[in-house]
Amino acid sequence: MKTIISAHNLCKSFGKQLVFKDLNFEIMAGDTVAIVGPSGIGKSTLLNIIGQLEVPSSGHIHYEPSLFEGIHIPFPFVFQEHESLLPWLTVAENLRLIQKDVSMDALIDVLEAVELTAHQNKYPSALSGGMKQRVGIARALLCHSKCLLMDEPFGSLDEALKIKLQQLILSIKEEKHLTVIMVTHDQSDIERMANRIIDLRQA
Amino acid sequence: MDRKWCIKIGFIAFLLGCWQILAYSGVYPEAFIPKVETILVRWWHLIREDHLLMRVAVSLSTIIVAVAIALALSALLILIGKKSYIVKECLKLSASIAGPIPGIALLPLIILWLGLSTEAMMVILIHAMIWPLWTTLDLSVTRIHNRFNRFMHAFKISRWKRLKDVYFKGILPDLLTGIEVAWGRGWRALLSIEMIFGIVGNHSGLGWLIYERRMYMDTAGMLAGLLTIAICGIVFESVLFKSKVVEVHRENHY
Repeated sequence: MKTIISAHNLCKSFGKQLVFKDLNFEIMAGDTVAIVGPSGIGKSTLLNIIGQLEVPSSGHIHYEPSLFEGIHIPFPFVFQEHESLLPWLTVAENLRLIQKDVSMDALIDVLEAVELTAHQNKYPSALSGGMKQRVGIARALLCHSKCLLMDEPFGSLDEALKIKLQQLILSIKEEKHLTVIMVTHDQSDIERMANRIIDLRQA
Repeated sequence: MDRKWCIKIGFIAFLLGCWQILAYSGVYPEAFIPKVETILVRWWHLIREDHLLMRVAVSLSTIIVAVAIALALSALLILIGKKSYIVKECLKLSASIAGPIPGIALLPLIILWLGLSTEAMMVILIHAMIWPLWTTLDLSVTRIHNRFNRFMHAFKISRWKRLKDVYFKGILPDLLTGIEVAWGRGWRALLSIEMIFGIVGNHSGLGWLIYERRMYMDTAGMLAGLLTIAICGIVFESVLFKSKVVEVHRENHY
């Protein structure tokens, strides 16, 4: 397996408050990595750094160049439910927002992958929590990137929905050869999905 | 007919009925409490002979211009506030100082500085509107920014799309609420100003008409003016701000 992301002596602080320091890790192509630790320890901050939304205070991350080749959005996120979709746009409009010239076929393809074809003209307020998260996954899939970053995507879902969504993500991951990096504090998420763990309690 | 409208019409009929009982009771003279039919006849006379509709149009056009300027200024203040923390804090302080001051309280000063002019009228109207508008819109923009900033960065949403699809569409319900509040405050301020200013240039509005009727001890005329204000209020509230489109849009936001 090829290393696609490697972090070296990563440190992050906000002002005088140190979030983590000397963090080293490697992520291989096809991995499902869970970033774990209690609330407030910096899991989302680390995910933001990996996704290039924030810069580390020191240290650096090396990315395999192929992650960026011909890809406009190399690190699409699946967010928590409340920040996931724009409530004033329909499902199809939410998807088109990130890629204006997306073809109808491509749109149908990703909606089929998440089993939401029949709901493309609905507003998010008409969808359940699990469906909203599936739209979030469909949006990320539209980017055709090699990585998928997820920030506590199952946080607000009940157990049955959570398991169904996790199975869906794993099957899409296998089919599209994705690398998944997710933030979670739930042990069962880790057991069901992850093959590698970055534990911030040790950083 | 919609149930809400039935209730509204029923309530208005009740008020008119109470008024008629009082008018016909003879407790007060006709010059104090004129009958509903006298008010309606006077109203029709004002429309035909006294250019009532033209006066309404003058008042409305003044207020529409003031709303447009207040909106543009609010947008500008929000943009400047986003760029500078110091400016934002100064704006917050200005809103808490100037917001509670009624426009009419500033009138003596504004007349002193600008005279009885259209500019003076606009300054007072804009003062009445801008603070609630800015406060509502700024809160709305901040809320949307905090909620979707990470999404916009992660998916590299272009500036134009951020402005059009995220911020503008996102603040739309609050924008309508802000305009509704600003409109109400502006309408009240305008009528008060018109009563004091009278004729500005070649124009005179609804407020001046009521004041003018008072000078002739024309109670029915004054009530006809107030009736026109009430009709305008119902039209704006029910048609403009509570239309189906607005309601559906609000529903989809929350």
